[in-house]
Amino acid sequence: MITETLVVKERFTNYPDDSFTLARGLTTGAYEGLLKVLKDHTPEEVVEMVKQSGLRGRGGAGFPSGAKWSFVPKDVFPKYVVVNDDEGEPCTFKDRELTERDPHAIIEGALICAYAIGAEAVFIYVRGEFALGVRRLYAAIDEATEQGFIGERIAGSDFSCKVIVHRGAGAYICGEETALLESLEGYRGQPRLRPPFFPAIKGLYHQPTVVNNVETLATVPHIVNRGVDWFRSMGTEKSPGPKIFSVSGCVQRPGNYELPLGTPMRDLLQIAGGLPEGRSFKAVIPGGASAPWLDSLDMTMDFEALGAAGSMLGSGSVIFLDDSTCAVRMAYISTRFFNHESCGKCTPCREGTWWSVKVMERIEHGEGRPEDLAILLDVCDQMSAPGPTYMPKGQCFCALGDSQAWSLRSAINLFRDEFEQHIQEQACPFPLEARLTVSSRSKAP
Amino acid sequence: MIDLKRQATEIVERYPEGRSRSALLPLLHRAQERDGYLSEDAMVEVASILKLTTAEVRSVATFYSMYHLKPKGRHVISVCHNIACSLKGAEQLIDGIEKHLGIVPGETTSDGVFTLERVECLAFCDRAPMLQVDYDTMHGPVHAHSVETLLSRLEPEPDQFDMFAPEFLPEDS
Repeated sequence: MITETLVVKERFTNYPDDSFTLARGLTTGAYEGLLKVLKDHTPEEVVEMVKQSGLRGRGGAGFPSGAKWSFVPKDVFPKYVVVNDDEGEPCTFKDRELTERDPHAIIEGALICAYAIGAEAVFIYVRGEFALGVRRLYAAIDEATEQGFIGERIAGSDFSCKVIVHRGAGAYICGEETALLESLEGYRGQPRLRPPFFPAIKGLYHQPTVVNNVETLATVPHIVNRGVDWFRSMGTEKSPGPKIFSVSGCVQRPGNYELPLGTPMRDLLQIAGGLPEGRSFKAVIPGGASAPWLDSLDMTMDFEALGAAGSMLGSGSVIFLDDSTCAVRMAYISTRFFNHESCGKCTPCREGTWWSVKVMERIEHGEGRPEDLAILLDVCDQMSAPGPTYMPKGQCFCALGDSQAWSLRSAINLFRDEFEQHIQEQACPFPLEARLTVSSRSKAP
Repeated sequence: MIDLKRQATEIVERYPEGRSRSALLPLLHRAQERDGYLSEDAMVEVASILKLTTAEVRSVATFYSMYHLKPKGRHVISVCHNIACSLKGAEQLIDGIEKHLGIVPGETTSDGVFTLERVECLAFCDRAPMLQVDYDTMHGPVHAHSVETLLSRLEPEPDQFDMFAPEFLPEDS
């Protein structure tokens, strides 16, 4: 029997009814980490602590958080902390749940970060569609301000900080940190060129800025309270600590499960109730729709192991596919998503996702041509050159185009027979119910 | 009635001095909440308040999927058609709503009550298939057979008109 390791999820798991209130927060340790750093630690010590902990970003890229904080110049003001709460990676739903159920953990983590880098304001960029999350954040900020955790001279210290909620308006690309900053400044959410626009140097309003994911920041108070050794006692050497995995797709109990990094993927499948009765495993997309597909369960859930297996941990959302699933249909849906969300700034992504979805649509709808797989792979290569590692190749302006190429190329490589069968038979071989076809009256856009 | 100019003052104050353009997204949310959509007049008004050109405002308004340049129904039903929801029957759900309302995604019922749209992942995948009502409450799992009950609870009540999730600022009287 596998049980969860409750750290970030602990408060809202134990107190599901009122975990989002400050009253409940204060009985369960909320803001103790903030008070502790203000009383006992210099900003430099906090950065060092997060560095030593080995905490890596929980939003997708897995960048070491302490290093990110240390890149911020000490003598340039003003500085900002921006919370990336624009969760949009398909099948990732941990940040939404955290925002709705434990907003104080996010605010506390962000304030600790602001203290560490010397920021005067925290901006929480929350996904526009998260209406309940927005309400909970506003309420939490009011409560925390009234209690003196936000504002001038917090808890009698010299540290002052504001917290501002900024609501997005629907754009996956704004999860990309430089696009998010553009959006926060009131522009179209399109990514910025790096260099010079590394957020740590030229971030929000071209000032030094740390952009961190919600779950990353919600983890920070636990590191402060319980120490680096405690944190490193979970997970692996290079991927320490607990992580929330959003498990969805063909499982009996989909949900957010918190387990140490390095947990076997089979354990994750088991804790989510396993595959539906009578079905067998087909594939897994281990890190959100951007991650290359895998056809094996024999690996552990950490940055290194998934990288070695030819995929990536990404946001930690795991989509299991069983044998009733049409691989072509799933690849088509994924491609349609990236095409819909391509911001249009660079040609390979704007055109590549558009042509890919056209070709994928005709294959799935029984109109595929013999040359189509070669066309798709060629388009993938023009968006992101093939290679052993999953780092953006620089052909597209940001990683969105690479993600589309990685995902589609892996689907074709793993299930080439199925793609060819669609083309040869001029039909999807899966039965109607399993095929989940777009109804004839409403062709997908 | 929302007074955009008064609200703008309050919203602009949240951001550092000289950064009033950051108020653009929040103000467009408010304008849409007031009118039900973003009219040409509203965009001109927002541009004038923030001292931007209408073209700058329009370029932003057309980029984001939650802003609508045409009127919508009183209730907007957004059904997710991404991976997790598709695996659990999103297409059957969309089909069921189409049959019940007699419209396809992108359309509004002739009485102006419901607009149906397809949307990408809304981070509610553990309760797939899901839909969101009026960009606010998320429902799931929703299956075709429960659509009628769900929609009947959203009967039109003009005085409860609440199409867009508010920005949670105090209302102007």
